[in-house]
Amino acid sequence: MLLTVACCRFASSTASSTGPLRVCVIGSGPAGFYTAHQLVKRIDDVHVDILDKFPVPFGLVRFGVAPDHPEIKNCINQFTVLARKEQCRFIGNVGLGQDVGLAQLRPHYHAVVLAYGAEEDKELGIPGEDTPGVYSARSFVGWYNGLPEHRQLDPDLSGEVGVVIGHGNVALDVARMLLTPVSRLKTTDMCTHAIEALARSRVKQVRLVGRRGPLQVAFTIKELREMTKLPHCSTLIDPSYFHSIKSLLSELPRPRRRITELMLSVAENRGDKRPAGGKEWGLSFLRSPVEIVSSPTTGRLDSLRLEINKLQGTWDSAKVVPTGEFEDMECDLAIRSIGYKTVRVGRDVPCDPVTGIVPNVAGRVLDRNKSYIRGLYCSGWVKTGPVGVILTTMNKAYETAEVIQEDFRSGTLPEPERGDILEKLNNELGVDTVSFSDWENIDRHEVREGEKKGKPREKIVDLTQMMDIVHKSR
Amino acid sequence: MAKKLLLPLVRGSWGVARGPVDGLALSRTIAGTEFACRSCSTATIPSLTSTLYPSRHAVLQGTRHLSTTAARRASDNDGRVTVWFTDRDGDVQTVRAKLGDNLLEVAREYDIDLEGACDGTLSCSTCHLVVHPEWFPKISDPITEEEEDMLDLAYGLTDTSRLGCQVVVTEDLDGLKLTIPMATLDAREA
Repeated sequence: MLLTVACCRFASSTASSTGPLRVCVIGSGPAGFYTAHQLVKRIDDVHVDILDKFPVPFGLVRFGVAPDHPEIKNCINQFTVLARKEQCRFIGNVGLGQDVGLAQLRPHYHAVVLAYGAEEDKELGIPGEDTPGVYSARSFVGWYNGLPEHRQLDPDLSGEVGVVIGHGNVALDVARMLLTPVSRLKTTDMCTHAIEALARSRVKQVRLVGRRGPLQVAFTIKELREMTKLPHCSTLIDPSYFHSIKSLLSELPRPRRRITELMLSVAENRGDKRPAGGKEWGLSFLRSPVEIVSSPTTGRLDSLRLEINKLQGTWDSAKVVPTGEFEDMECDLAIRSIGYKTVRVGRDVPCDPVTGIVPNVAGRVLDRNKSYIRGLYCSGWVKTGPVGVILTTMNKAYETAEVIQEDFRSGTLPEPERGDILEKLNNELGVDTVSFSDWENIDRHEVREGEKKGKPREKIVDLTQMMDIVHKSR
Repeated sequence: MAKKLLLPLVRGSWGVARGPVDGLALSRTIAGTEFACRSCSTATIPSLTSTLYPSRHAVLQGTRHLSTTAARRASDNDGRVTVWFTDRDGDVQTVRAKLGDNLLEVAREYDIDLEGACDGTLSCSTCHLVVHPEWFPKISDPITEEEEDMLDLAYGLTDTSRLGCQVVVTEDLDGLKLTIPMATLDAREA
């Protein structure tokens, strides 16, 4: 039985007689790039414009992935190959909603893909949330990763005890940046202003507080293992949280079982070695912050009031039930890392008010009446919600590209009525757009500056400075 | 839940003809185009005439039907062995994989639809491959803790899963059969 299936997704799809299939992807992070990558692969005659509000591409790969995880950023290599292809054009410094509206973009394309992620962070909604000394993980990460709007965060790292609220990979990243020896950070692409601040930091203990138990942690095993191996730092996990869990281990799916076993072995071995250096990090379970308490004299962060929880139901659908018992956790720094949410970018962009997700089915966007909006798609976190690593986003992007291809083949895409968007952006709307080769000039500048300091790059954190470099090298 | 072998959902099967010509003909089934063995050349085996169809030549090497002289290794003349990839659409692609390359590099050489987002640095699981159970024990590269950690995140994980970037092509893997798993969530997503 020889397999000779010819008509599969590699069969070429040719464009209409009026020219190539024109697609606009809004957002140049993994969602945008992987969608564009799949479209270029599947469709012979296609042209994809990838827009981004920043002059620099790559979204969270640049602004989110931790500086000490450079391998995760390797996907940029493939994105770069794609961006340099004829069929692909990066247009930076264009913000949807700020510089151009969706209704202005759509007539220029057969299809528009929303892939702009989730910019805001979720808040706890508790008293004292804006107390000095409390920060969102999004802004803290943005601060050390060069997100222009957070470059002046200047977090107060003068106290010894930090608390991170959340049990995800971002929470681990934050804790790791606070506790990693600065000598290691100096050779990463972390912004110099952050390296210098961390060099002066007095933070020695970081506790990750989460409202659920060990079986509900959202971080992944590689990142957890990394934390347990931090130099001059001990890991504190209370083994008593695992008593009722031990018997469940063999029933758990493999990934959950392995990470639980790791936590358990660390919890049980904690007495064995206490490395010198005095730093420590740990996990606190079943605690929800209900109030952020400030010092009556300084007005600064003093402690967190935590309510103790219990869980009901099975481990994979555990419901959090407050017990009415409380405890106080003193701390000098609190970083909230409980997830992101999508921003509404304009009246004409559908957005669920509760979840922030753009309503869709498999990436085809729905209007208020739940009917498909022809030619409008979404990919990445705006499609699924702000959860998942690059792999997840990549898979979801494939799905979106597949439905676009289907719709293209079945002739349901609207024909563009207008020409090249660049003309409209530059001439009519006066937007100072940035091309991929402009970005490459910024890139070269950053790498050169980084080389002087023994770093892979020194990120430019000022938008005006970025645009200066763009103008000078034209 | 006890560990189960989750066979990947593919439209094809392992039942591709194993006959000397059909089974090892180096042909791509994409859109019906065929191409002959890239790395074989009749010049390398002086005893075969240039009128021989290249794929048959490769077959002769691959199936070790050269009986007159002492037994030759599958890779003797071109430093390559045969590897079969079944992709997500059920199409089978047979390629001559270079000894010493890892499977991600092989996939890239032949433009097989296998992602390697982190470029083989054990920082993602996008090069996840399901190895045919018969071949799994023949892979000499042991699964390290780091690879297990990344496999934890892979979709459609099976008991014979490996990350392509961690498996190096050796002589023993001549005839290796791999499936690229479907990129959808499965029940194990914790």
